[in-house]
Amino acid sequence: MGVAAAGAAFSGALSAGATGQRPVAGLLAPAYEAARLMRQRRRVLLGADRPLWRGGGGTLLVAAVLMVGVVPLGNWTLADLGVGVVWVNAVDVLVWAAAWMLGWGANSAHALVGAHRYLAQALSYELPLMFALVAPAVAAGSLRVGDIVAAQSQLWFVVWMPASFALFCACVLAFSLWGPFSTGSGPDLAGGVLAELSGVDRLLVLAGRWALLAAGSAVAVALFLGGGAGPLLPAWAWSLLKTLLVMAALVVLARRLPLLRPDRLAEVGWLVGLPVALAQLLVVSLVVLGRS
Amino acid sequence: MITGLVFWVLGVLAVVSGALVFRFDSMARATYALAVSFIAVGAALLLLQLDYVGLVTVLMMVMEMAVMAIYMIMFMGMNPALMPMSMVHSRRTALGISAGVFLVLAAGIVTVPWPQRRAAPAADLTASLGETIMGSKMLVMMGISPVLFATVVAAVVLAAPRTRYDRFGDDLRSAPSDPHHGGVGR
Amino acid sequence: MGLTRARGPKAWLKGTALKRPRYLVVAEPGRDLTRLALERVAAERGWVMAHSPAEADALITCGPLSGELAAAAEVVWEQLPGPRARVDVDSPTGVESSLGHVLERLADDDFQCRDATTRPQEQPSDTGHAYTDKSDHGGMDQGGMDQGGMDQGGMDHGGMDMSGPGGIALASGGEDRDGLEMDVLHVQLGPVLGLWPSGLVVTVTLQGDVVVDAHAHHLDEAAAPERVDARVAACERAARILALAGSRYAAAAVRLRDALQMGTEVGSADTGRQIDLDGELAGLLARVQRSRTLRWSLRGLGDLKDDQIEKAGLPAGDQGDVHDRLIASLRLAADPVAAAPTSYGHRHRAVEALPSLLIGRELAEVRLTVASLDLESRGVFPEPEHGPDAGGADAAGGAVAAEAVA
Repeated sequence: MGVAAAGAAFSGALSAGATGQRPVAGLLAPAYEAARLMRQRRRVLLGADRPLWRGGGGTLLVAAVLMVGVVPLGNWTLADLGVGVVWVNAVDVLVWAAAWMLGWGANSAHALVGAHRYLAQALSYELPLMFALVAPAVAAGSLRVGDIVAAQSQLWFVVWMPASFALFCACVLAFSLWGPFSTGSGPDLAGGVLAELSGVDRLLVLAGRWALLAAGSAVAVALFLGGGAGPLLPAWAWSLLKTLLVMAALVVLARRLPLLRPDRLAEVGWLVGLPVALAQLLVVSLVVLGRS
Repeated sequence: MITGLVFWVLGVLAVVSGALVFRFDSMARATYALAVSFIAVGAALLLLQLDYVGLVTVLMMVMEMAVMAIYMIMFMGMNPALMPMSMVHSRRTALGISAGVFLVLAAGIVTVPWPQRRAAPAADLTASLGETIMGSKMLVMMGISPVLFATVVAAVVLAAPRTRYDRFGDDLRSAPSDPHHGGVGR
Repeated sequence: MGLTRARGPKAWLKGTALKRPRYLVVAEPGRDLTRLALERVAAERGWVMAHSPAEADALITCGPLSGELAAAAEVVWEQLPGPRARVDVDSPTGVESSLGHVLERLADDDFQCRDATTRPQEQPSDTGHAYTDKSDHGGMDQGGMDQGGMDQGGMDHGGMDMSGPGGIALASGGEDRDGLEMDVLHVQLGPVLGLWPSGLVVTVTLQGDVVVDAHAHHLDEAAAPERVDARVAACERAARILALAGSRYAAAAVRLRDALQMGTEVGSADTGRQIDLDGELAGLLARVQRSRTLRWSLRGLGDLKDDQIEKAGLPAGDQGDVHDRLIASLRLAADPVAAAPTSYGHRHRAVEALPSLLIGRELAEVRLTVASLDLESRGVFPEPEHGPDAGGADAAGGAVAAEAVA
């Protein structure tokens, strides 16, 4: 959560810089926004599907917490599942449902179009994401995130599977419904799934997106960047530091890109992303075969 | 003790949300009630230490429900998708079939002589499960999966009314006249 | 739920919450100087423009509203979740005090409590039923909901007479371009919508997110329209496209728009700053032109062929896609010797022809297309008889001249 807040503050500072204000003022922008939303009233909408609408917002934050659960922080893991990588994947699919429920529940055309945009986008990024996740698992010979971290004691996976790492990072932005992948809540749809949200409901969704970004960065660190490996500092500190760095890099990168329209993204995901992920997986498999 | 409790909670959740699918009068709610039911089943499988099977159940079913909701609303025509509607069709036949299936399965549980566990479970259940199911047939499976995938794609291409074949005939080199450009510059 | 209903939140929470209010603007067409001043001052104070009523704290109206626009403002006002404040800004000079008034109102717990308890709890959602003053209450009182004083929901379009839950008109079916029977939804875009030309109302009929039918009209202009410089207008157009495309250059474009506007107000005395500004605009143009991702995302959107341009009576520079028009707008904004706007008589015809340009496009593309065309009511427009713009006007003038000669 702290990482998520730091990321939001960092992004706020960058936005402030872009509009010509002092970056320091931007650092506090997320705090101001949170306070504003806490003071704002929730809306009771005519004809809304309330359970799905409100449930969708909460699910994002829950998904982020669940995802962090399998990531080792130093020697300590909340739940060291034997199939942690599949867990991460399953949790990311929860975001599909959450995004659609958010858009459907509000009973608004813009929100519903936004929800469908998010799902269309999900269909483009999901397969590259799956195969990007498989590569480190194959290299480590285990689906356990802890084992994958241990397998990187000699060489970080990012060194010899850069394509998987890059794809995974892009997909972290995508399943956070954020930055260039926030088409479903973009200004061209008057806010899309966010169009009808106010107060605490909106705060939950915004915080959930940041939390997912932070959780995704933490997973990227564990799978590709050697987890807690590093000199001097304890392992947990390295995990945290690397997560912050990955997140900062993602925030900077995302700000450089415009919205990636889902109709364009589909072709890129299937004709570029998927083959690249598969080719990288082939290389990894051959290396593993050669070793054994 | 706690495991037993959790199991019962999950079991009740699965059954109740499964029943709610037929009680709700909205397609979206029915779909996601089914998703909750499947999540509960997946979590129950986790309790049986079938981690992989449990998680894949959650993964596949949530994904499927998300897409299914769209298809239901798309294909159910207009008003039924958005109006309150009954989720039950041919009530009597359906009730008969489900009661019959339940009785057969329940009879199976009671009458089948379940084997006793002879050895401790494998250390890595996921690996041994995969070994048992696939084992010697790995090569065959690897061969079949691309064929299956190609079949799915071909079926979609043939079924869709507005594909590149319909538009271009045999000449596939001409530029597509889609309302939108794709993302890789074609 | 009701932070405002209780004795009031802690002072610090209120103070923090009021640091960055979000606002919506409803401007009478032709009140652009007031609106620009408002947007500039608000941005200086760190206020943020809202995309939808749900996220807004304040509704700021520019100029006296009447008719359809007043009704639309009323609907939007009902949709603000609260704490909420509403002020009217009459002229560019009144902006500062109005914003101060907004803050006072938002901080006034007693007022907000009264407001919260006297308004209806249920609100209509933003799209589909909002922004319309046509109250054909088809079954509004079904579903046992307390509708309070709301006067919308239920539009008078054909095929919308079936009432669903809560009295909300249901969509009807129709064949879409892919051969599916898709829901038909009527959604009104404008007159109150972020990043949208003021005074423009487009009613679109959607199947999925594809527009199958559209109607457009323009609301009446203010009695004494304010004049906006053509460069400022072009810069604003570019800023809107960039913002809709989610580009990081949008912020810079807005800043330069405000600087340009300040420059025109000060006059040409401050030439040093003006040159600086020209340089910055040229720099922005160069960066936008270089951005491959932006071209990738905008290429082919809102594509207008020559014959469409001609039929719609749009200026020849409008051909091409949204990206072309974005570059053209930035070029116009960056050009210190921009030609005086002579060909603005096209606007009325452009609004008439707009539906034909929008049909077949998807909702987000409609937003981009509209933003990229000069449909703003800007007061500067000389009436057709003064300008050598419209073919029709020219021909008529020619005929008059011919008669005179005869």
